[in-house]
Amino acid sequence: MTVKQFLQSKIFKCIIVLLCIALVSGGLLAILNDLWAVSPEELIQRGIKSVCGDGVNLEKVCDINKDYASTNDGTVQQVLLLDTGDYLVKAQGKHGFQEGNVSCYILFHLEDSVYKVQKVSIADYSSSQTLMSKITDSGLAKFIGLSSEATMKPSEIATGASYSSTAIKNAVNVAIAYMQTMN
Amino acid sequence: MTGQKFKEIAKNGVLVNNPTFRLVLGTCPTLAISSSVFNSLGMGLAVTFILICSNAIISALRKVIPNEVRIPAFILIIATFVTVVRMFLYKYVPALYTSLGVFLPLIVVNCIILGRAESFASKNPVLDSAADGLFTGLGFTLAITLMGLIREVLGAGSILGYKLWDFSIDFFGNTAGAFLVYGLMIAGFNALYEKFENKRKRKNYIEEMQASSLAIQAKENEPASNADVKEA
Repeated sequence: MTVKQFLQSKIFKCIIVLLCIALVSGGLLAILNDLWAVSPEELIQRGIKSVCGDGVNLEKVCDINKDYASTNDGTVQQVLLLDTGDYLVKAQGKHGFQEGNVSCYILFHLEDSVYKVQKVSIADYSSSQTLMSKITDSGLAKFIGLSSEATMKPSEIATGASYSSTAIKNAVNVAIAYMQTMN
Repeated sequence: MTGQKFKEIAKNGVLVNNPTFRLVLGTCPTLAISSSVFNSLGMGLAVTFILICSNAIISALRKVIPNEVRIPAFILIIATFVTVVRMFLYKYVPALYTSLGVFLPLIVVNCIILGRAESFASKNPVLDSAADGLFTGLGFTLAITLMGLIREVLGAGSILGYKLWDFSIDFFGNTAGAFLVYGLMIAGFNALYEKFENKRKRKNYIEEMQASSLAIQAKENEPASNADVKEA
């Protein structure tokens, strides 16, 4: 097949049509991606809103002390000081279903010079955590008031999702351990 | 597009070829997402938007896209609009983005959208195709929202997150409950559809019979009246 024959062939037309569609689509998506980009500040504010509701704002993003931020069961990803004086910690718990992870927001309130868990909310989780719908607010409420390691069984957090519950418990425990260093 | 054709497209999309209850397409998101009205409505509107846009573009390019690569071309176009919807939801409705999860990108391979692109949009003008997308999407939205309503009321005792009562049957929130509600709704919708369709056919048949008997009577009277005229 000569070059001229190739340029006149159906194969060439097919390639050109697909390329044109891909280029136009790519251009459109690139423009929209810039227009609708979500900034890291907006993501932080969303996290705060999901836990504390409206009216609470970020005071500052705290530096993480790497010596205490990571254990075998989880990692502290973000520590935020809120304008209410409370701390919001984003921590990732390991050992979920199929060794997946669950990230949680844990809100700490200072009470009698000790940081205690005031609320726990799910931030995100790996796609292998297929039973996350079994995790309810009442299950997460079991952590409220804790200032030392949570020792309850996973089934007390949610029945039927014991691995994901373990990952959540690990996330809360790593956050509590980190906050103990700040007491 | 004439008013008659528009009506026909609307009737086909919502009732005669309802994608969920008549054609049993898009079953995967229907079963997975219909646990609440909010998720169902969000999924339905997302699919409707993608259907309208992809149908219109595919129809506009139907004479340009070679037949051999039509499916990859359709998927490219559909995937573009799915990504647009994903980016929009992530920016403006993050709660719905999180709730729809993996089922949002999976709209790319939704049978309803690919089916309408292949069977309608690639053979009809742009306006007709956009109208088909709108009404097929509305048919899907109505069906999935109705399922979401039933499952949320029975499974969680609430509507749109507002608690109605403390009573709830967890079964309806689970996959097995989704299958049961879906099956019962398909049966109910088709029973009603057949009933109305038979009624309409019977009415048409009676009208046709009356018209033909009137025509026969008129024919029979014609020679008699001609003869009367001749005698006179």
